[in-house]
Amino acid sequence: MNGDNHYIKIVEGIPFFSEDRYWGKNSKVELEKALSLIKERGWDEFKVKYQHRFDFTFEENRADWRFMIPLSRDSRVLDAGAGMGRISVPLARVVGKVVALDPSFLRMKFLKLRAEKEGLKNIEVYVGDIFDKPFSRESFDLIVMNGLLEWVGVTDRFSNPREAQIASLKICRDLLKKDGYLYVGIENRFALSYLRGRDHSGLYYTSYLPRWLANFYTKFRKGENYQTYTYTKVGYEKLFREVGFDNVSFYLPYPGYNLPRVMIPYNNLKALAYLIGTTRVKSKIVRYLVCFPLVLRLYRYFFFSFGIVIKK
Amino acid sequence: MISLITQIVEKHPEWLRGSGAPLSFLKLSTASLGRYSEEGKVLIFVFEDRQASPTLCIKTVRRYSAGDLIKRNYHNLQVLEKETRGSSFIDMFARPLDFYDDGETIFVIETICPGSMFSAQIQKMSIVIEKYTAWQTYLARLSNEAWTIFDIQELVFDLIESLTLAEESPLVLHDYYNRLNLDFNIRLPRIVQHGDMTPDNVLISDKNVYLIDYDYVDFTRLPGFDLFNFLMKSKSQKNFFPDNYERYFLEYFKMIGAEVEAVEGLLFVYYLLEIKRKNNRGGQKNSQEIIKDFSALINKT
Repeated sequence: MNGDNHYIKIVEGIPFFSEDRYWGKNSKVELEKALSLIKERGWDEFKVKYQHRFDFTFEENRADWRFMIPLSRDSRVLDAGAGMGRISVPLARVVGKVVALDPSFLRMKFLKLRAEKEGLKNIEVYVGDIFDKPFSRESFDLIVMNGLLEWVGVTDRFSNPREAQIASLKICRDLLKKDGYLYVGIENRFALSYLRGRDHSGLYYTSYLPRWLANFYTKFRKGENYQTYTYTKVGYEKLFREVGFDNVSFYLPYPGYNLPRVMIPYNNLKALAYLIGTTRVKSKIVRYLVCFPLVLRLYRYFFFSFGIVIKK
Repeated sequence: MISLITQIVEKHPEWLRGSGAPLSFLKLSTASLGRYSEEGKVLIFVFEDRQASPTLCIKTVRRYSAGDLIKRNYHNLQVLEKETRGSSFIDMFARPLDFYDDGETIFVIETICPGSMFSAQIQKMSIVIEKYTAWQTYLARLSNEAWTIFDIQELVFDLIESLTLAEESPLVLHDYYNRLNLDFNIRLPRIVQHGDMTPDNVLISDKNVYLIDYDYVDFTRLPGFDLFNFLMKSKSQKNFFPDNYERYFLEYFKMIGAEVEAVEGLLFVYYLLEIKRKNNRGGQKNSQEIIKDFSALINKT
């Protein structure tokens, strides 16, 4: 799988393309404890003990956007920023091979163990990031960047986050086979939820601010640049066009790209209205409002996130 | 998968309302955690350009190994179609259009039931029950030769025996049952039931009532479970069930021609059937909890 065989080392059977860099919502200590528990008491006890903390990890429908993409037992998939395998595992059940790449050794160790426990022999794990250019050209039918593109700017390899995002997308384009697909799950820059919660920067409202102001504010508050760029639909389209991707379809994943129980075709407002009108939304006001396309357009404009299907 | 669906649909313009293109796809998934991850279904609604509602519904599963669910769904749709062919009741259900299985991907293509969930419009309870009862009456008239007379006590005791109770002896349930108002011999038609008529599985439009989700459709010799399930799970006003069940059930039994005078015994059977289904899905109650909950439901202490 590795084009140039440029591993820097192999630890516990896991090849490294670059040095270990831990990230994640769970602390490193907690994940180390979880791995010890699996080793000492077994997988079943781990699942029971961690069921409320790691439930998210075991939701099989985290990769349900895949129904929008043609995949088969012959498909080879790269899960870039694979984390604990929330996407890799459900995909591995339906495709030929999943290559999981992540900068965290512990997370890859967890995924390797999980794959073994679940009898999935078609998952390969690697430590590294997409900028290591670790794989051969045109070797994947699908590349997944779920919750990754906004973070690739957090690197000292590029001076500007957008440059880093474009470079990562170009690498993906090169890695994709002809007619292959890239799937990007990512937040909307103007998501309503960012008026209530923190942006990736850890601060409020930074995604809404002009970049220069967000940068100034982040430097002032945290002593670092604003590196986690998200965009509106138009912004993403522009980004993908710059990379040479012209066949791009947007979906609105609900409740969010991390758990896409519903995937609404962005360009079909009637589908959005149908969904709201036929489900158990009881509010008469909401049911009335969805009759107005302008309201739906506004709702769509401020939707939390996008599921973006890109064909090479 | 949607490219495959598009290819199939393009070969069948008769399935579409208009010119068809361009099609767009709305996906819905059911929960997929833990023990239910195998059972999870995925629905893909096919929209034609400028249409306010979808034209087709595709049902599939995440793992091919769970494909029996889709096969059963397709088979059950065929049963419903056969049983209602030639009547207006055929429009209460989706119609099966195609079944696809290539050993790797499995799905069924159905027509759409165009309505809103009953859960969002519970004031239309009587419309639903009226339509449902009319459908069951139609089926009962067709099944004249297949009536069953049976000893309900024996049925209840068999059912109690099959429950996985959390602890003590099933005799507590036997004793409780014997204190209910009973018919010992009842005569019921063997007819098709929906099997999972929850408020979320009932859709209502201006013109019709629809039942969706066909996993549990089957012939039964004990009709009434649908009605019980629907009334019990409809979050209507307080005391709706105890105040109304007798009226609805006696009307239902009368319409389908059943010989039942006291309904509580049968309600207990339906309740135990629901407990059994929950047991199969991991829920577990003991006898005292079953009695307490059932008593609260029918308001009998």
